[in-house]
Formats: sequence, structure tokens, C-alpha cells
Amino acid sequence: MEIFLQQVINGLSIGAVIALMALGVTLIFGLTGLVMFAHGELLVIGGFLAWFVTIQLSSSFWLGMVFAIVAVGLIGLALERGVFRFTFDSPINGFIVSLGLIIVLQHLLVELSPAGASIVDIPAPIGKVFDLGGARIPGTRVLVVGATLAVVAVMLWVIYRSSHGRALRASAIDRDTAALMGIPVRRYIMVVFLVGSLLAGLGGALMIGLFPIDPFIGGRFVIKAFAVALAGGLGNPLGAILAAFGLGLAEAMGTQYFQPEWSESYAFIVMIIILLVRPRGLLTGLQGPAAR
Amino acid sequence: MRMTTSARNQIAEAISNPRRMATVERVVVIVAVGIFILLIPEFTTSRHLFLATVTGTTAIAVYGLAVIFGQAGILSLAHAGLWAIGAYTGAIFFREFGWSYWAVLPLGIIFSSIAAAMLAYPALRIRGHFFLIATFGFGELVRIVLENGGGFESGRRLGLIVQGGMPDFFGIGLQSANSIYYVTVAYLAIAIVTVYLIRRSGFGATMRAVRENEDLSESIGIHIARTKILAFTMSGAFTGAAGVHYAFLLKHIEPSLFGAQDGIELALMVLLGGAVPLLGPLLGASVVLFVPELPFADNPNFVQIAYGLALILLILLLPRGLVSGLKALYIEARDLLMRTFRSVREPPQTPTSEHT
Amino acid sequence: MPHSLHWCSASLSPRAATTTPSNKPPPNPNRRRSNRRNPNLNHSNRRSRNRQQPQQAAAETGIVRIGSVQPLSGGGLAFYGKSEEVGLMLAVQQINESGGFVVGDTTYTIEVVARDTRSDDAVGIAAVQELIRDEGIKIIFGPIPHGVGLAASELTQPEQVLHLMSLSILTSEGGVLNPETSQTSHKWLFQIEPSELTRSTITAAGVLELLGAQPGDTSVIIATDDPSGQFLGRFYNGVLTALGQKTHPVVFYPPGTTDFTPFLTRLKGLNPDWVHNWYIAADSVLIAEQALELEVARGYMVFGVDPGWWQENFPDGIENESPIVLACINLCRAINSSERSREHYRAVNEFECGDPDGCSPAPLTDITLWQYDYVYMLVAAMQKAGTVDDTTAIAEALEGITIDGVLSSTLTMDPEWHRVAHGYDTCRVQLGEIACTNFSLEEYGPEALGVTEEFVLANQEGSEQ
Repeated sequence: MEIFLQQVINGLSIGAVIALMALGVTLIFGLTGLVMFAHGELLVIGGFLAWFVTIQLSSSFWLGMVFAIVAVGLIGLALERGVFRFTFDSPINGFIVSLGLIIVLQHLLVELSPAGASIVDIPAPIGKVFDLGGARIPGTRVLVVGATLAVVAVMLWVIYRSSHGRALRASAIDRDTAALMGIPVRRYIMVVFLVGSLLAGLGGALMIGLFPIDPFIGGRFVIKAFAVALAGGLGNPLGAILAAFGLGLAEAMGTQYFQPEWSESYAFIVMIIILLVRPRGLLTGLQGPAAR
Repeated sequence: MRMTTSARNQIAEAISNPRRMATVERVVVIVAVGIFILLIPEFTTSRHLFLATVTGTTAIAVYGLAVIFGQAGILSLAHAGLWAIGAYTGAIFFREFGWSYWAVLPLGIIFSSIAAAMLAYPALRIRGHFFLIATFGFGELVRIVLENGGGFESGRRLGLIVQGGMPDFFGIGLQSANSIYYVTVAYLAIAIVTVYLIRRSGFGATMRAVRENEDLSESIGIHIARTKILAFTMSGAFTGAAGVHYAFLLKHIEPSLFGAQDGIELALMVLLGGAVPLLGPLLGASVVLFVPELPFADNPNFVQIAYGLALILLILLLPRGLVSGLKALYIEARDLLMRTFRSVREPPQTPTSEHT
Repeated sequence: MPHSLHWCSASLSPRAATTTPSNKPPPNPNRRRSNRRNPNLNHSNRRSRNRQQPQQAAAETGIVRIGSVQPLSGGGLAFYGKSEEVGLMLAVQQINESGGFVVGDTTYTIEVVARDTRSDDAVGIAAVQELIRDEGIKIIFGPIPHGVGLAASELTQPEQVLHLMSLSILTSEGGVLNPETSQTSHKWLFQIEPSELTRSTITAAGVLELLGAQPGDTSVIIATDDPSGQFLGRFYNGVLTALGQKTHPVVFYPPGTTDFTPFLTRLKGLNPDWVHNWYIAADSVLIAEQALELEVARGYMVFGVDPGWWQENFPDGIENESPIVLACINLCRAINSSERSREHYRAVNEFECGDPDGCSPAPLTDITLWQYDYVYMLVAAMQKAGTVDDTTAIAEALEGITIDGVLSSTLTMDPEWHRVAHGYDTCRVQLGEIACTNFSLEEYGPEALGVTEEFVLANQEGSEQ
């Protein structure tokens, strides 16, 4: 029983980082039809910035986290202005640009980081480990899951309850009509890039609190983020978040009760099956404005 | 050198239609590239000869991708997985069942084609990006299965060693680096001609119709599912052949050679060179594999950064790939030259035009 | 990225062409590549001062060119590749600075032609072909890892190129080297690392002793799910079984995993006494930290991490009441090694960063010893054979040769298997206290402990399946 409980906790904390990624990925896709594979690199940059402030500048983790969030948000905004806005007519080109961007960002990070290509690490921001009925819960994991749930709750409230959220969802359903109705779609696209990147920055900072990272791990997370975003219906924030925690739990349980070496494949198997059965995702998603 | 009348007519026609190159010009380019490729062993080092052989082999797989992307308009990130299926079929049947290179080659083609046809099924239901992501998943799954599945290596899963390698072919020894290179070039030539024939065939037109408008194609009686499955099957044949040859070339294969990253790299090659021009995939593969060899490329990080930036700029500025860009540049230059030439020549109305 | 270093060759090369004792001219002197490409190693040219003063009274001078192919950039193995190259370069520098070595009536210095595989198998194979065919090199060290190394041996052996690699797979089951091939098809191939049986047995015995394990305790293994991890992890599992531990099938995690908690929780469910972490050093530290949080077992083995690295990264120690045992890849770099190995590491530090007291940050581990001693062994074999370019004669001289090396004062090349054997260092870390012990081949080797390869291979899935 304590093993089961422990795996539930493990699964939730795996799901939290994926959820932060998936939220950004799915929002950007919903509004622009862009499959932004370089989102994982934003996560990694967030982690490195948090490390830089915490270790290299000998400051506090919390300051590092704020710095990472703001800086990565601005980077995302700059990428939208400088690169991606030229690709909104042809999302497949945007996707390819994001592949190029992965290469550029990864190696730029290796070149600029004081640690080069090696892994970086910070001491756990919360050193305490709680004991819950035999299950061990490191404090940092509580922080990660808690922060994620709080951010997600706020995001969902904004998207589903506020007037901005309504305009956002309208734009996602039909960009042209929404524009005709007077919704500043272009501005919403910028906002979505900014917010998606802020979340990636937060995810990166939280992640380095949990474990070390190197410049090349972004891909592992972005593909999982896409898997859950797909499973939840691309463009559907609530679906993505539910699927993210679902995948985290599936990986933990699969490791415990099936073959551990196959745990990585669950995301892909689930993704392909869902796509075959329901090509638009489990919960109704959006095909994306320009995907025909 | 005297130019024939028909060639002049063609150039004249090409000038009136500036987006085209005359047939004679295309032939010249292809012959020049062909001669260059055949002469590579004469002037290069063993290092670059081997890398050229690897490039040729990789390019065959890229042509496979170009068939579905250039003609049917479907991009796939799973082709490294299909390539792996070819390579593993070759290595396993060669090692475990003692089949010869010539026997495993068709087998690899068949297995890879079957896998490609299976990959086509999702493409019937899933469109656009969704399919792209699904192929990414497929490619990773193939790698994970290779990593964990099967006891073909007697329980010691260190990848597969292909000892011995290629046999003689009707008295031509395939052991030397030169002969392996020429065999690879022959395969490459077959791949290019096949792509050319597919493009010219009725099936090529059918694929393009599906690419342009699926609903319309269906309404005029095109069987969409059959078209896509056939396109993928053909594409898989290329990757299968490339895979078997690759296994014998490297003499050792392991799953990490065929991961998602490699699938993306194949896609980058086809995008870089361009899927439609006949020499696009070859140029794409050559650029990706040879740029790190350039003498000034001494910081691998900068090479990668430059490469990523080039890709981004290319997509934003030259979305049809390098070959189309070079072609457009050449046509511009040629037309400019021709116009200048004509404006110099025409006012005096000289009758002697038979020089050049 | 390819680069080559000519330590002391500049002034010698013009003469070398006429003074090489054999009839063959030195291979392609004019096609030699210079230092024009030299990206990653910062030690490249810095120490190429010319102190060439042959002490012996040999009349003639010559150059022996050896090739080194290693991953120096791209991917996680670049660190290992660079360290191997440092080991080789250090030995070459020492030999050249002491005036070279004499064979016949000629004094030779060594020139290294180094190439980078960029962690790409195809580039690695191309580099080996380049060294053999373009550069005319007859002696090659490297490359790693297993896959590209095996492929490279397929190229070197038909060409009778002397090939030395630190890969234990060569003589393992399914490898290419055994008492039969070592006398025929693979006569020129040498494994400059002990057999996996020797390494695993000494490591396991040392780890269990330092942990205080008893026979009948439960030991479980967590290993990377890649070809090397699968091979090493399962073999080690068989050895633990042979040493009387209760064992389970190895738990494999996908390469690149950073959150090990699901895997560790699964292990915890097996109620282990000891957890052994194979084989990637950086992963295995992380696994230990997460395992301590989850309280998985009574103690942990961490593979490939040096006590010096540990001290530098955890200056105050970590709060591990459960002991952690560090298994060094060869001999530990910082603490309690022999006087001889301390001297070696001071030289390595000086070579790498100009300071004999240590580089900062320290490497996670030290594997310069996968190469260092064997340059001296090669020189001894050349002197014994009386030739520097007859690879068959040198290969025969290598068989059974014994040198006084850093790894062992009687480092011997097994004439049948073409491989060496030596002991390993292992350290126990607990609440900031570190103590290291050398476990010798004589006392802890497979023969001393009665561990056989047959038993190990039959028990790779563990005793409690």
C-alpha cells in the first residue's frame, strides 16, 4: 500500500511539469495552429536561468525562479515577433522553423552556459522530506505539484470564466471571424506566446529544483507535452491538464506493475491509439485554424 | 563549341518562360553532377570517400521521404524507424540465419515497405500536424522496441555486428572502399530514376491531386486510401534498401542510430534540399553530413547554430528548398546575361549568330 | 573534430624520412594534418615546448606515429573520450620529453594523430579509415563506445593494424576476441581493460565488503536501458548472485531519465538491503540522492564517481546515514590511492589545467588510466620486438609482456586472450567521511573467489525471479 501511495505521489509530480508544458503547447496551437517543438528548449532555458541566478550569482532559488519566468516569457515573445509571426500562414513551416530553433537554442545554451554541455544542479529548495503512511514526500515535490495546481487553476479560470478567455476561445475556433467581430487576434497570439513561455520558464525553474538538467533534455518533455495535449484534444487546456496527470500516473504505475524499461513508450502508444480512435483527441479539440 | 539549333530554340523558349530551365540545361546539370559523383574516389581521401558513401546511403532514405512529401504532401518523422527496420532485417537475417547480402536486400525492402504501409493507415484518418506527431511517436516506438525486444543477440544486447560484409557480385569484389562507393552510387541512381519515373507516371499525378485537394480528388474517382497506402509502401522500399546497405556499411548497428532525432534529421534533409527537385534530397543529405567536415567548422557548437539558423532562414525565405533557390538564382542570372547580351547584340542587327 | 599533436616532431620530421631503419619511408609525411582543427581540448598546444635531448647515444632519430580516435564532442561520451585522449597524450608527452626510446640504433619519439568521432558512428569509422589509408598509421588506440569500437576492429584487423581498445566487450561472450581469433584473424587486436568478469567480480566483492553486506542479503541493480547498460548491468547481477546475494532482475530506466522515483519505488517494493547503480556516473549520483530521500535500502553503490568529485561537490558531506560506496572505474583520483597513482593524477592535473593540485571543477571520474599505461606497454613491446613498424612482430611481443605500471606493478598482457587484468579502488562515504581501499586481483579476482563466467551468464536474471 505504501508503495502504491508512493507511486501516486511520483506520478503526480511527473504530471505537474508535463502539465505546465502542455498548457503552453496547447494554447499556442489552439490560436495559431503551430506545433511548437522548441517549447522544450524554453523549459530548459528556464531551468538554466534559475540555476545561474541560484548558483552562479549565489542568490536565492526564489529570485532565480522569478527571473527565469520573466526572462523565458520575454524570449518567447521575441520569438513570436521575430520568427513565428511570419509562419502563421503555413503552420507546417512554423513547425520546421521550431525544429531549427531547437538546434539553435540547444547549442547557444552550450556556448553561453558557464557549465558548457554538462549537467547543472541546485540544492533542493525545500530540503525537508515528509512521511505519509510510509510514503516519502520530498518537500520540493509538494512545491512543484502545489505551484502547478495553483497556476493551472488561475489559467483555467481566466480561459473559461473571464471575457478575455471567451475572446481567446472564440479566436481559437475561428480566427478570421473573431477578427471580423473586433477581437484583436494578433494581440491575443502575442499574449498566448508570452503566457505559454512564462509557464515553460516556471516549469524549468521547478524542474531544476527537483533534479539536474542538461541542455539536451527538452525534447523528452515536449514530446510528452504534445502527447497529452493531443490526448486531451489539441487546443483544449482542461483536457491537456487532465491527460498530463493521467500520463504521469500511468508512467509511475507502469514502472511499478509492468516492465520499467517500457515506461517511456506509454506516452507514444496512448497517443497513437487515441489518434486512431478519435483523430481529434479525447475531449473535443481544435484542428487548428490553418490545418485543413 | 557550336550549339545545336534545337538547343537554341529551347533556350529561347526558356527565356520567354523564365521560370523554367531548358531540357538541355537540366541535362548538363545532371551530367555534371553525375560526373562529379563518379570522380569522387579519384580526388578524395578515404575519410571523405566513406562519408560520401554514407551520404549516398542516407540520401536513398531521403528520396523515400521525398516521394510522400514531394508528391503526396505528407511529411513523416518516422522514416528513421523504417530505415531501422531495413537495417535490422538485414543484420538479423544475415547473422542469425546466414542469408547473403543479396538475399537480405529484397527482404529488407519488403519488411520496411510493409511497416510503411502500416504507418499509412493512421494517415488515412489523421491529417496534418496530428499525423506528424503520430509519426514521431511511431519512430520512437520502433527504437524502444529495438532497445528492449527480441533475444536475437543471445541475450547480450550490444547491437548487431555484421561481420564479413558484402560478397562479390559477378566477380566484382565489394570489399574495397571504392567498389562499395560505386555500388552505393548505383543504388542512388536507381533511387533517383525511380523517383523521376514515379513523378512522370499517372500515379504521380494522382498523388499530387490528393495533395492539392483530397475531397476534389475523391469526387473524381481517386481512391484516397489506396493512393496513400501505395505511396507509403513505395517510400518504405527506399528506406528498406538504404537500411540494409547501411547495416553492411557500418558493420555494426544499434537502436540509438535510429531515434526520433534521426527521423527529424531526415526530414530536415528533405526540407533543406527540397522534396520536389530531382537533386534536392541528395543536396540536403550532403549539406547536413558534410558541413561539419569543412575546415573552418572547428567549433561543433557554431556549426550546429549556423545550421539551425540556416534552416530557419531557408524556410522563411526559400520554402521550396536549396535546389529551387539555386535554380531561381541561376535563371535570374542567365536571363540577365541573355538580356544584356541581346541588348548589346541586337541594335546592330548582326546576322552572324552562330558563335558561342 | 580532428586534430593532431606533434609534441616534438617539428624539428625531427625532415630527418626522419631518411633515417627510419626499415626500408619503408614513413607514411605520407606531406599529408599529415596539422593543428588547424582543434576545438575542444584546451591542452592541445600549450605544452609542446621542445625539450628534446636524447639521453641515449643512438645515432639516428625517428618518429613513431600512432592514431587516437575518440568521441571528443557531441553526446555524453565526449567526457570519457577526452579523458582517454588525455591519458594517451600524457604518456606520449612524458616519453618524448625524456628523450624518446631506443629501438635498434634509432631513438624514436611518438607523434599522435588524433581524430574526433563527434560521437557519430559513421564519422568514427571514417576517421579509422582515414588513419589507416590516408595517414598510413599502423597503431590505433580507440574508439569507444562498444558499437563503433567493434566496427572499427573490423577495419583494422584485415589491414594488420595494431589496435588497442578499452572495451570489455571484445573478449566477452559475443565479442570478437578469444584464444582462437587472437592467434588468427584478430592477431593485432588488444583489449586494454580487464575482462568484464574480472572487473565485475572485484568491484562487487569490494562494494559488498565496504557496505558490510552478508551472504543472503538482497542486492538489486538499477541500470541504464541502452546496450552498454544492459550488458554491464545484467553481468554484474550474475556476479552478485555468484557472491551469495539474493538478486532480482535488473530494473532498467530509459536513457536520459532524470526522475528516478518510480524506478526506485519499484526497487523499494523488493525490500532490498543494497542498491547498486550502473553505469553512467552522473545518473548514478542522482539515483543515490533520490534513493536516500525515499529510503529505499540500507546502502548504495554508485558507479564511476570519484571521491575527489564527491568532496568538491559535497564539501560538507551529505546527510547519508546509509553508507554509499563509490566504485571507481580504475584507481580513484583523489584519496588513499597508491603513491604511484597519486603521482599520476598530479601529472594529469598539470597536463589538463596546469595545476598539479587539481582541476576545478574536478572530473566526475578518472579514466585516463584506460590509456596511460598501455603507451608504455606498447613502447616496451616495440623494444622487445626490435621494430616500430612490423605490427605482427609487435603484436607477438605484446603477448605475455609485463610492465611496471600505475594500474599494477605487474601489468601483464594475457597471451591467449589479448587482455590485461588488475585490481580496482572502491571508497565508502558516510556522513562526510570517505575511506578508500584497493581491492587486488590476487585476493578479490574471479579465480580467488571462485566466480566463473558460466555461472554468471546463467544467473543474469537474478536468483529470485
